[in-house]
Amino acid sequence: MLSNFLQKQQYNYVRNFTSKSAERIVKQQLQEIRNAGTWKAERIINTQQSASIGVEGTWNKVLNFCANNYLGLSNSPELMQAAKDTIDSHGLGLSSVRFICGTQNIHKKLENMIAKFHRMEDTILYSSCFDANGGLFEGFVDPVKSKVAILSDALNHASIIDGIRLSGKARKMRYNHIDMQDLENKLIEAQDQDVRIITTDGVFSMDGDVAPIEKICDLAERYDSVVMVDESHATGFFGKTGRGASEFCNVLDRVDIINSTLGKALGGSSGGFTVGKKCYIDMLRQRSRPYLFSNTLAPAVVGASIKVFDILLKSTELRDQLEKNTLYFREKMTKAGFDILAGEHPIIPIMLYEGKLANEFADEMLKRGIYVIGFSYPVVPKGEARIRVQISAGHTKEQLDKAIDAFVEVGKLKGCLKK
Amino acid sequence: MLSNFLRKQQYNYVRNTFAKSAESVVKKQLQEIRKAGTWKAERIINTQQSASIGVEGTRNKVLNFCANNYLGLSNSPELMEAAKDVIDSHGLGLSSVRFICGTQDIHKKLESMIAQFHRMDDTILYSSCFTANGGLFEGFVDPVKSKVAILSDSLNHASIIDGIRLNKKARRMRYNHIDMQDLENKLIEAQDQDVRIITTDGVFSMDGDVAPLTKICDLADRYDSIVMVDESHATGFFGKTGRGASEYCNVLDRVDLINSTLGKALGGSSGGFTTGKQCYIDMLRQRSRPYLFSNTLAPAVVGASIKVFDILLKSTELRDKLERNTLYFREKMTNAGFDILAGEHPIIPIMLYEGRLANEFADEMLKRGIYVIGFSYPVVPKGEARIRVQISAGHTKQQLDKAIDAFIEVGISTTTITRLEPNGSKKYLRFLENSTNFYFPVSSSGDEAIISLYSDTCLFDLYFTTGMDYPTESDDDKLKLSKTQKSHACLSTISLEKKETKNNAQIAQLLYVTSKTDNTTNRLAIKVTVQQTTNIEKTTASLVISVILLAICCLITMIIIVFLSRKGNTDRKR
Repeated sequence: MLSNFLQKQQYNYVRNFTSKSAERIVKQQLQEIRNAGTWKAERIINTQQSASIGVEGTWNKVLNFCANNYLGLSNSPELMQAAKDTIDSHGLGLSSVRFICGTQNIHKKLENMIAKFHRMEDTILYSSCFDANGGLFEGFVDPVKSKVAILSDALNHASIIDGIRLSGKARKMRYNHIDMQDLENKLIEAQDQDVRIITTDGVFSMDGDVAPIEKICDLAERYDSVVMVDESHATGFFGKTGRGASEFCNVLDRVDIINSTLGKALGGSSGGFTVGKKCYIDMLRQRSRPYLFSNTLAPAVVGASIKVFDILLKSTELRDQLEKNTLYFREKMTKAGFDILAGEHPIIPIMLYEGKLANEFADEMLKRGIYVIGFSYPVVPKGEARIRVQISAGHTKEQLDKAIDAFVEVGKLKGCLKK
Repeated sequence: MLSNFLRKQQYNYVRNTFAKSAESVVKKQLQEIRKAGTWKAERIINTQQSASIGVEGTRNKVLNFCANNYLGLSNSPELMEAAKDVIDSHGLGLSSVRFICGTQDIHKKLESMIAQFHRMDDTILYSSCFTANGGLFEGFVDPVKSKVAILSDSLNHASIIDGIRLNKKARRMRYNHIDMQDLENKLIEAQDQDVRIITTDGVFSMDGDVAPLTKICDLADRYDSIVMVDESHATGFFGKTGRGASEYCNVLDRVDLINSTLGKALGGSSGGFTTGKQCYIDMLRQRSRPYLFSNTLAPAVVGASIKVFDILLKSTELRDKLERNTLYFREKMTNAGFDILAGEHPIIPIMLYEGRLANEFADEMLKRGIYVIGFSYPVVPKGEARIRVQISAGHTKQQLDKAIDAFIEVGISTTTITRLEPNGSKKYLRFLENSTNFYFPVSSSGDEAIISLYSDTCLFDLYFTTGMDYPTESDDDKLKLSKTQKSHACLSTISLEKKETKNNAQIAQLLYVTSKTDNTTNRLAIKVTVQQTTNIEKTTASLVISVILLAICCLITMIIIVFLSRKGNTDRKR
C-alpha cells in the first residue's frame, strides 16, 4: 500500500515535471484565444429543443432563433414515439460496423425511402453528414487506380474540406465562391484526369445563398464531371417539395450525388447519408472508411427518420409553414431598416459588419428573451460580422413578431437601422 | 407537361452520355473488387442485437460472435428504458452544434461522469470515436503556432490514421507495432519539436493484443511527450474495474488523453469521447472541427450512457462475467487444438492463415448456427487470415459450448490448415475423426516433425509407418509413437524419411490414428511442425570438421617449417 502510494507520488512528480511542455503550450494558446475575444462559451439548455427553450442563467424561457430545427421536428411527439417504438423493437444499439452485423431491416428501409425521396437509386447511411463528407472523396473511386480531380467551392463546409484533404492522391482544386467562370477554367485544366467531381454546398450556411446548381450541372455535362451537392441546410424544407437546393434549381435529376443530414431539419438527433447512382453507393459501401470502421446508425435514429420521410412523402405542410414564416420575417426586417442578404432561405443574416457590435447585439437580444448568436472573424470574413437568424416552422407569428420588435428596439439602441 | 417530359428525357440522354467517364471507372473498379474476392456483403438482421440474433436467409436464430457487444448491453432493458425516458424529458434531437444551442444539462452530466470514471479532469463528447480521433490531432494544439510531432503505432485504427492525416503541418512519424526501441528512436528524432504526442490503440482490434502502455509512459516521461490511448476495445470491460488497457497496465494516472466510444460495450447506440486534462479538453472545445461543425449527441444516447456509467461505477459484475466467459472459451479452444493468439482479451483470433479457408469456415459455421466473420487480406496481412471471435458477457455457457463444438466440427470437415512459419518451417493442423489417416508432405529426408496432439474426448494411439499402407499387427515398421489419455498437447519428435510411390510422387510417412474407445464423438487434432534442422546440423558439423582439419594442417605445416629451419641453422653452424 505504502509503496504503491510512494510510487504514485514519484510518478506524479515526474509527470508534472516532464509533461509540462505540451501542457504549458496548450495553456498559453488558450490564453491567446481568450485575449483575441474568440472564446466560445457554451450555454446550457434545460428543456427540449423547441421554438421556446429554457437556458441556464435566464429566468424565463427564451425564443430560439439559432437552431437548425427548420421544421420544428426536434421535439415532435410523433417522432419521439417512433424512436421509442423502434428502441423497443430493435434494441438500443448494434455495437457493430454495417458489414459485420450492423445492418437491420430498418436500415435498408430507411435507405430505400431516402433514395425514393431524392429520386436516386440507393443510399448509404452514416452517423453524420460530417462523416458522409469525410468518407466520400476518398471512397467513391480509388484515387490510386484512377486520376481524380476534386473541384470545390471556396466557401464549402468544413466537413467537405476535411473530406477532400483525406482523399490522398486526388488533385484538389478550389474555385472562387459561386464563380462559374473560374469553375469552367478549372474544369478545363482538369481534363487530363480520369474522373472529375464538382462539390458544393447546396445552401451556404453563413449567408443562406444558394449555389447556382443549374449552371454547375451544365458545366459538368459539358466537361464530363460528376456533381455532388451537400444539402444539409436544404433537405426537407427547401425547394418546392422540400427536396433541396437541387430541386429549387430544377436539377434534381441531373445531380449525381447528394450528401445530407438527418441531424438538422429531419429530427435533429443524428445521422447523415449519401444518395446517388447505385454504382457510386456500391463503391462507397466497399471503400468508405467511416462506413467500414465506425458504428452503424442507432435503431432509434433510424426509426425516427423513417417516420420523418413518411411525413415528408405525404405532405408539404411543414415546409409551406416554414416558407410563410421566412417570407414574413424577411419582409418585416427589411422594412424595419435592417441590412439583410437577399434570398429565400430560412437562414437570414442580419448584417452588422463589426464583430464587437454583433456580440453586444446578441447579448441585448438575450435580455429581451430572444436567443441569437453573433458571428464574427474568423468564422466570417473580417468586416462582415452578423447575427445569423434561423427561422423554424415551429415559430408562431407572435414569436416572430416578438423577435422583430426586439431587433428593432436593440437596433435603435445601437444605431444600426437604415434611415 | 409535355415539354417538361421531353426536357427530362433529353437531359437523361445527355446525362447518360456525358456522365459515363466516372460511372464506367467506378463500375470497372467494382468489378475488380469482386474478382479479387474482397467484396463485402451485408447480412440483414431482423432482431435486436443480442447473443442470439435472427439473420435474413437463415430459418433459426444464430449465435452472434462478431459484435462489439462485450457487456451484452446493446439490448439491455434498463438502458432502453433510460433512453426512452430521456427522449420524453429532453426531446428527440438538438439540431445544433454544441456551442450554439446544442448543450443540455445531461451532456455536462455525462461528461462529468466519464471524467470521474477515468479519473481525468474533463471530457468532450463526439458522435463517435471515429470522429473523436478525427478531431483530436488537429485540435489539441495549434500546429501553425507550435511544432507538433505525432508518433503513431503502425497498426493503429483507421480513424487515428485519418485524424493524423488531417494535421498537415505536424511531423507524422510511425513506429513499428509495439516496438519500444523504434519508438524511442523516433522520440529522440522528434526532440526538435515543441510538442510530442504518442498515440496507440489500447487493444488492437485484429489480434486482441494489448499495447505496452507502461513502457510507453516511461518513454513519454523521459522524452517529454504526451500519451493518447484509444480504449475503444477496452472501456467498460478490460482492466480490473473495466477502466481500459491503461488500468490493465496500471498506468491510468499516467496517460494524458483517452479516446473511447460509447458505441461498443457501453450500449452500442452511438457516441464517442475524449477525456483528459482540463487544458486539452478546453482547447478541443475551441478548435476541434467535428465538435464545432457537427451535430451534438442525441439526448437518447446521452441518457442511456449516463445509465451505463451509473452501472459501471457501482459494480464490476458484467465485466467479471465477460472475463470468465473469455477464459473458458480460450481454454477450450486451445485444448481442442486451434491456433489462437495468446492473450486475455475477449477478441480471440482463430488463426486459419489462408483467406479462402477463413471465408469457407465462416460459411460452414453459419450453417451450424454460429455467426462469425472471416478476415483476410487486405484487412490482415497475407497468410494470416483468421476468424475473429468476440466474446460477450451476454453469452451463456451453453452458447459458448455450442460454438466450440461447431468450430471443431467444421475443423474436421475442412482441409488441413497450413502455415508457413517465419523461420521457414511448415505447420499443419488437422482435425480428425476416429481412425483416419493423415499425410503430410516433406521436402527432403532428414526433416524433423514435432507432433502435438489435442483431444479431450477419446483415448488414442498414434502410429507412424514408413510405407503407404495401413499398419497391421505384424508390421515391423510400425512405430507406436504415443499412448495418450484424455489430455492434450502431447509432444513427440520424429525424423522423417521420404518415400517414393508407384507414380513417383514423393510423400511423407503416414500418421495413422486409432481410437481406443467406442465413443462416436471422438475428436482429435494433430499439429505437425516440419522443420529442416538436420541439413543445418550437417552443414554445421561438416563446417566444424573442415575447420578442425584446416587447423591441424596449419599446425603440421608450421612444425615442419620450424623443424626445417632449425635443421638449416644447425647445418650452417657446422
